Amino acid sequence: MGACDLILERLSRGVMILDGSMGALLQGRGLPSGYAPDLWNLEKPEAIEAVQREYVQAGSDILLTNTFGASRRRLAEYDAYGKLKDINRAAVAIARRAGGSATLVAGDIGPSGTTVQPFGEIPFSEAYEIFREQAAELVAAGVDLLVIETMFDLQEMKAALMGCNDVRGRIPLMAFMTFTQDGLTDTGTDPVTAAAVLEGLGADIIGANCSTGPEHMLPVVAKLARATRLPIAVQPNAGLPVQKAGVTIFPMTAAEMAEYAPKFYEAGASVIGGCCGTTPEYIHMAARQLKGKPPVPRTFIPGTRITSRMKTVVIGAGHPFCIIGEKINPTGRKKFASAIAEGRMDMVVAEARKEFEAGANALDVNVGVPLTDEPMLMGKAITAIQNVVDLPLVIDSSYVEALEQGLINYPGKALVNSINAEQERIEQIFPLVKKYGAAVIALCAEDEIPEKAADRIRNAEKILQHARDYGVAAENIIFDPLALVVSAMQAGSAQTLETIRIIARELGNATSLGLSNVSFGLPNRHLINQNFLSMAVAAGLDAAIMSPYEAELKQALSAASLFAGRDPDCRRYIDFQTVVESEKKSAASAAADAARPRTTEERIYESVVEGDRDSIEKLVNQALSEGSDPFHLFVDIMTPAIRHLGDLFGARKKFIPHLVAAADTMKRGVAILTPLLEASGQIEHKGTIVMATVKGDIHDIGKSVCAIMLRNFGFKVFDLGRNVPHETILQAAAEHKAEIIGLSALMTTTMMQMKVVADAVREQRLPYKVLVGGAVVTPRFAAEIGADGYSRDVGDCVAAAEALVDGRTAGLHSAAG
Amino acid sequence: MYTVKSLGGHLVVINSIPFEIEEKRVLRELRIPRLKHVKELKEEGVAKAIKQAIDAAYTLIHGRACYKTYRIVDVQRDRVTTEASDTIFFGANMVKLLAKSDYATLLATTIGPELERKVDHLKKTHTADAYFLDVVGGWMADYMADRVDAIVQSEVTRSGYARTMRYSPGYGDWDLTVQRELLGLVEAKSIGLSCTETYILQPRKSVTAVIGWERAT
Repeated sequence: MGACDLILERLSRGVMILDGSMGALLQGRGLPSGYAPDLWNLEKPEAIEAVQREYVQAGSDILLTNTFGASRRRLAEYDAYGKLKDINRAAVAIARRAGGSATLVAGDIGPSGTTVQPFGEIPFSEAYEIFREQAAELVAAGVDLLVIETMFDLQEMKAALMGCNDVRGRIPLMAFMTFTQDGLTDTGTDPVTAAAVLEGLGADIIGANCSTGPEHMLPVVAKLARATRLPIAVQPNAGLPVQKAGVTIFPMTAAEMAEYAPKFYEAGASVIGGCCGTTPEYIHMAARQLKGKPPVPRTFIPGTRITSRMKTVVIGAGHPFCIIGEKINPTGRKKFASAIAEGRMDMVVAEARKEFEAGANALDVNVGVPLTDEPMLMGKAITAIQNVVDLPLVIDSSYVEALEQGLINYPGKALVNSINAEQERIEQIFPLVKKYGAAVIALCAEDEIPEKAADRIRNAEKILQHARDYGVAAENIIFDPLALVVSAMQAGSAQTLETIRIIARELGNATSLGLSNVSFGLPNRHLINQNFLSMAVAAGLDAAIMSPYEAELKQALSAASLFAGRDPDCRRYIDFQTVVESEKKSAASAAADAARPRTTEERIYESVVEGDRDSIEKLVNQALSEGSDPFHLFVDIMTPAIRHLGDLFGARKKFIPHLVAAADTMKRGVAILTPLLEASGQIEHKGTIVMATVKGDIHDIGKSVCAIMLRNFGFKVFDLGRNVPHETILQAAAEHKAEIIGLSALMTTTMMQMKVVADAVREQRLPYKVLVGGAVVTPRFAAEIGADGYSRDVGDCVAAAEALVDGRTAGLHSAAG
Repeated sequence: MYTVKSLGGHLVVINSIPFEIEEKRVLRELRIPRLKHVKELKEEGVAKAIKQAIDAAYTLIHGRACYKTYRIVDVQRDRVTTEASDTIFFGANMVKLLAKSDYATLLATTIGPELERKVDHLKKTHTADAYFLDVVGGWMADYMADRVDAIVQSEVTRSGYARTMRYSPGYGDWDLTVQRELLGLVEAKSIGLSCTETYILQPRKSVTAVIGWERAT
């Protein structure tokens, strides 16, 4: 048995005790505030050793080296990068002296001090190198374990685990994430997801440390313990810190801390220590209670775990069926492929959102467009999708380089699609899966797909053997028993179902199928897919790469799951049916409404009121072809419609979005009528308005909406755009013989330009009314600058303009008092 | 031992902020009360327009942020001085906000330029679509600020401090004209953020702010 196995074997027999805080105790020995304790490994080693001896005497089985900040960037802050090797090696030697032969020495690695791409600043490869460099020195110095602690972010933890894996050989690795009082990491990862990712990346012991006291850490430990079979470690702070007179105080006493030690033990922890503010006294109390005690039995629900950054999905017997959305795939989709080829991810993102909203549990991501840089595009796609959906991703490519780029940019535990029993593929893919801690879909085929189930099982067993050789855990392999095209290979299709049964019964691995192939070439493919899926679920299928958009397929799946032990109490089925019924009712109501007999003119009126922009043009053209007069449509149908909507808005039954949609609807209808109205000479304008966003300001969407509304109500509007100097505004007003100048400003730094215009109008005795509006403008301001009118928002701009052309002021009354 | 990333003038850059556009919040921004989902709107045309804006926003938003924490060295009657500047925190409101703080984190965040480019492109021909997209963008700028705020709060809490409210230029008497200096102090160029001569942030859907680290009383 190697040294690694000895440590883990010892841990399986009894609880081991870590040490406690170093920094506070060094401060008591003169470490200046803000000074890196790591530097004392060279400058004052005796102080470090004295603290560590105290912990050994208190009962620590494992000492963490004083190297939390002894990595490249952290040491560079003290111009000490050149001493990285000496500092780390000295730290190990000190701990070895302090601990003697009975105490294990763990090389301690803290955060890099920066953030890691794709979400953070430094490239993943640089982060990986930072951790690998420090780990190499600690390993060379002879540590018994490596410890990564206080990691806020899963991507940085991934770089650290991979860097350590590169150099540690069989040395055990303990990995701690740090969780806030909410029980999540800073970037939203929960303990269940952290456990899956850390275990997948080869950690031997996982845990939580720092950030919170024992009270908040206890539920985190409990969740970790249920999410993995690995030993669980815990290092709480001595409560939440408080700043008092420039000093950070951790308020819990050793006795108060020690009360939690048995609770952590009962929750499943078998490695107990302390972080900031903890002392040898606490370690002594914890050791007295727990040292050597056999770890509590833990329950762990088996299955293949895949995760996003924040969410875990478990695939396997007894778990809900996993729908893996198949639609992010450029095959046979010209526009989709073009967008990807151009490096644009907008269609990929839109499809990801659509699949998520349709109920997919994971997303297959394929960006394989010929003659493109697929690795680069895969990295881009994985990053873009992660931003908008929180689902585990299935990285799908025939190229190893593309798979790797996907894995590098993915902080969660991905599912790789795919491997098969061919030697070449095994040699390419398994090392990648192992290195990046992923799970993998394994096709039960070599170069040909066997017809018989027995032959497919033989391939599966071969893959499992190779997995063992490469150190990939069996539970990280999901078998694809291969859905054959039933019209071409009917017997083979039936054997697919038999293969699923055998895998479920004898191998225990989860299974997944690419569903859509089975019905290729036959009519009514949906019917075949539904039935095949139901039969496969009955045989034990756990997941499928399929379309999440087909309602009937999801219905079939939901019902089949009832008979496959995947829906206790039929709860999910009932909830799903509730949604289905509700959608049916809405659709029936909409259909009934659409079928109600109405004239075309009535439909036009309703379209405007309802803001139905898609129907208006067709309806107006239809009305014209039925003989409706254009002027009648404008004056007697659309204008009353928009006014009615305005009344509903005033009564707070409709709101600004209704006005905006209605205005746009009317605009589209009026656009068809305008040439006819102009030709007939029937158009009468209420007045002419010149509108502008003032100089220095570039906000103008509200103004643009107002312009539409004013046009709809019969005003002639000249919109000068934004950042318009006052001279240009006055010139345009003169040119167009405007009655009103409408001004918009959204910044306190630009609104005074409104006064410039108002002053010019007054001083030059110009005949224009000045109407002002915008987020920063108030009735008081409008009155102060001498404006004639104020419009609060798009809801009252028409009323304000109408008042001004009628010779009244508008909106200034509320400025009084 | 804990490390606070942003202390000591370290710039923390977040190049990509995952996000979710909550329909309920968008409806509130549009001043539609009580509804939680867009599909609850009776008017299909309006619901479709809002949903389209949300769907488009997912493809156009690229949240980025940066923040830096400065030590406060002096509090006077009319200003608060940091190790890097005695002009950034000027005015009675800033004194009130930061008087009990040992540190102040300056932050900047943006949803990026693509959404507003789309709004500008749509404005003339599809004004309603532009309007809805603009409203979604405005809410999401605040959303990104909330995400970064939560991360800064973690740093504050871990260090034993309580946080002040988040305060932006233009609030109270913290004049908008500090914007340029603030952007410089937080190295906002690293996330592609700047401001016009009239202190309008570019991209427009962006937020700058300060959060103080208050001592326990």
